[in-house]
Amino acid sequence: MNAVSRTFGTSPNSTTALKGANFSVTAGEMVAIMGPSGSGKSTLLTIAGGLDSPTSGTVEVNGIDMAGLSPTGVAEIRRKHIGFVFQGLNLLSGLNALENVSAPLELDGVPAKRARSEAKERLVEVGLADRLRAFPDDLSGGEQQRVAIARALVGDRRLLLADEPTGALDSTTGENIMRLIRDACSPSRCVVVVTHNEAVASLADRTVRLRDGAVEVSGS
Amino acid sequence: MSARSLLWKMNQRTLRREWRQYLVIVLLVASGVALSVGGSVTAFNLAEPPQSQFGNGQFAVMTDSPADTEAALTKGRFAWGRRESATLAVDGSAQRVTAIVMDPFNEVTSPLAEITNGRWPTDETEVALSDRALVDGPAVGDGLTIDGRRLTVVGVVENPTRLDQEFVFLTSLDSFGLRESERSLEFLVDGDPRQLPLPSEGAVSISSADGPSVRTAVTLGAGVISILGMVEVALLVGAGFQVIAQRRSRQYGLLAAAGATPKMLKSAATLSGAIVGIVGVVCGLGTAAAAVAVLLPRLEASVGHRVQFDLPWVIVVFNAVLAVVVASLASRWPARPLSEVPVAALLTSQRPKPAAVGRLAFVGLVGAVLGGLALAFGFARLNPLLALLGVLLAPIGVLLTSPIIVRTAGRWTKRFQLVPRMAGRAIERSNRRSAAIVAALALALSLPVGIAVVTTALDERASAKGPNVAESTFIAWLPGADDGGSRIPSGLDQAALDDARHRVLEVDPTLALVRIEAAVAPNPLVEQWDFDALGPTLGVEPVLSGRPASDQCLVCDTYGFGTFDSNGNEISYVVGDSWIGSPELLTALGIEADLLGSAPAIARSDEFVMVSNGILGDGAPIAVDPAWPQISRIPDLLIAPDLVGNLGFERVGLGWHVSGSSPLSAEERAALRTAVGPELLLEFSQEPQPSSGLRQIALAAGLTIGVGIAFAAVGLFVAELSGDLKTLVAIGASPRNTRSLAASIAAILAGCGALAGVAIGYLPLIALLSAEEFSINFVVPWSTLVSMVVLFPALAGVVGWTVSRSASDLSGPAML
Repeated sequence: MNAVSRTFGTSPNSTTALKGANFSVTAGEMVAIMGPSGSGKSTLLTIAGGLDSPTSGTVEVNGIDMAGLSPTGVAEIRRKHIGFVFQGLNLLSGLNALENVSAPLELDGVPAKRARSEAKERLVEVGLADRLRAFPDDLSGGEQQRVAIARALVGDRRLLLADEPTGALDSTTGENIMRLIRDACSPSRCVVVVTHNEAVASLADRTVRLRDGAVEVSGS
Repeated sequence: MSARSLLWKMNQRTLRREWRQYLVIVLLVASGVALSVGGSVTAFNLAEPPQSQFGNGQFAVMTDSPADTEAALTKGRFAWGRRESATLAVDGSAQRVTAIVMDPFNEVTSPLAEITNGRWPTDETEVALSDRALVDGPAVGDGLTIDGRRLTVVGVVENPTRLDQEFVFLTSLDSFGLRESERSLEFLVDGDPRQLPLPSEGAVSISSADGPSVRTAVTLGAGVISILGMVEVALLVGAGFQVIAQRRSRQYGLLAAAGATPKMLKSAATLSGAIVGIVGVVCGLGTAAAAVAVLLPRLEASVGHRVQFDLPWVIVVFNAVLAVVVASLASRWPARPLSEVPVAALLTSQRPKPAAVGRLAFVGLVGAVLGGLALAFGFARLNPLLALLGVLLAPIGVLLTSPIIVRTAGRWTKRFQLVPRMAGRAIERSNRRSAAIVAALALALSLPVGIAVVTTALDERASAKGPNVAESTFIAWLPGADDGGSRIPSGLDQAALDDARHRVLEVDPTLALVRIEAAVAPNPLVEQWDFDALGPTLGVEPVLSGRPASDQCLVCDTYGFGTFDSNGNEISYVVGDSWIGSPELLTALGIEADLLGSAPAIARSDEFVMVSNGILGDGAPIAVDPAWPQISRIPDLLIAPDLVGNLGFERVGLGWHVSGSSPLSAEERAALRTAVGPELLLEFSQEPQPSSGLRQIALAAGLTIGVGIAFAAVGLFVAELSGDLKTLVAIGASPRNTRSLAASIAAILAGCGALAGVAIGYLPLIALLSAEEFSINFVVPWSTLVSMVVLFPALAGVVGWTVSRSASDLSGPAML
């Protein structure tokens, strides 16, 4: 992210959530983003993930500048390169665990059989081999978050963005989830985690601190 | 702050915050009320008003001793008025015009005439005209010569109960020098005809007004339709409130956490519904009133009388109350399960688990089957109660099976790609709402399907039978003879008929003419009022409810007389509308000539079994199944010529069946019309008119309503699936994917609704198929059905695609 700013509303009632933020993350790196409420953490994550556009500045993912892409192009970037894990346990309510994980691949045109085969592997990796056919309603919070992680990793995505992934979980489950996220950080993949939790941040290679929309500290 | 005022305040704020959702529901309620009230007004006014026959009277008396009748009416303290009429010539015109004389201010006759311009005539030199009484007629203030008398036009008059009636209104017929037989005098009387003391001498003919059956049936029909309409609205409103309730679940949780009881939560929801319902009713009534006001002239022109506002107010009030109750319950219903969800779950906006397909759906399946059977048997055996049971049970049964249809559709999409699979799952998970939408769609689409299948079947039957007569044939009718229940033709009519034969042959001597004759029975025992003697001849004990006029009542039931035996069964001892089945006529009509044979027999038309007059004589009825001609009048009965003599009936000519060797050209038709003159009516060959126009209108209306429902359905589902849509975008769904989801939901629901609608729409045809009398075949109106089952889901899909939010609209900071 290069000199990214994001302003909401129009003058004089506008609010600037991000002010010229510079931030980068490389493959194999896990970065924690911390900061008080309203500091712009979530805005940074949505812009990094192509869910929102900056008012100014540029965002590149895997060398591709997202500013020049159409909504369909940005969706393709998300589908191929970015995985999300939300605090709100956002699984698709009508699909079972296996289908939730295979959904990005199916959207990308991968045949259903192959997509499900890969999804199954990911679910086994996160310890849900026996819950493949369970629907979100039937899964615990921890299990739902595991499914979300499996979904974020499927298809060899290069960037995993997690917004308070342990916020809705008890501490033991949270630790397990963070371990999975830490393990997801591989030489070909980087992870960005927004958190309030110092323990979570301590697992990261680097911590970026935000205050009033500006990157205050970026270091290990 | 008390809990009640807290809830009230919360309601107000929610209404303000979620005004868009509530606006949709208000519009739905208002539309339902407007349609049902407007529909009731229209339906109620389709039937002729009761005043159209005798003004404010219940019966009419025709008599040859007016003074005695007046005395009897006065003595009996009846309210009554005179209506005198005659047909007069207009100088300088080939037209003849009906002249009416009556007191425009009389309490009985006043509803039959109203001055719309100018004033009433006050003496014998003045006249008022109906607006089209004379083509290019004079205006108010002009002079007009009628039957040699110069009159001044002083006003424009109309009969508000029959706007098509054209007449001149006079103060008296005395100055025209008419014979008694050329003038017709009726006493229109308000009261019970049985209380009328009959004069000791002279003949009296009493005609009673038709009972209230037509209007009652129309009112009942309007009531049923409006209730069905409100059921439809209830289904949609319920679905709308369900989404609102789910959006409110966190608020419910907060209230519950603060100590609100489930009862309070349900009360809050009910209150919201009641407010929305009342606003919707006010808007709906206003819309209906505005629509009726704007469309009033067109409505009056199409129904042929002034629209009355002595409406079935019970239906209007019932609809209004029903709308409020429906909105209140529809709002309370989804709050009920939510109030039972644990507070913690509510606070996380967790929805209650989707309910499984209930037993009610299986009961509905059984009901649909039983209703269909009841409908079929009810019609087959002419059992109205059974038929009515079927009419109610079958559609309700089909509607209750909607959850099964929804579940089946959801499972059917299992093998599809991700987006349609998600759509199927969403529909299956929200099975109650989906079922409500499917039921609403089914109701909306069943009407055009029903119209299409029934009219197509009738068109096919008419097409198989061909035109009314061959192109080389025409019928010359005596006036009135083409209209069942007309007066018995007079001697003058018979002379005109004979004269017409000569004039037709002058045009083309090669034409073959066959006389159409009716059999009438001038039973002297009836004329002589000799029931002691009449009884044994009929084998039953007759009780006569009226007294025939000696010179007219050859066919008493023509004039509304009913003769009953001691058990109350009607005795048709005089055969009305019965033709003499001479071999020549049968051949001319294309009926097997030896049908009636030599045996004394009476053949009964399959068209008229339900209104059969009954049979007189020894011969048993013979079921007739030839291709009956489609001419404008066909007989109830065909009487073998031998039987006519045996029973002492007399022959009366009704018209000529005329046929040539080649099709009649337009010039020949015109020449025949000119030759025959206005004394006879000519009926030429006309191809059956298909009902395609009606089908197209019904189809367009059904599709429009259906698309509106699909629009509302997409709105509801998109609102509910907003979380899923955001997630979908986050995992890389393109705008096309998210729009496809909405389109798939709309298309699947539309497809389910269309299938259920087709099932319900076929019920009337199934009923008619089971009734032998209608002799129609099973039909598949492909264009309508393809439109319903293929085009409509596609259209709904387009609506879903268009109105749903794209992925770009879903992005932003709120995504997380």
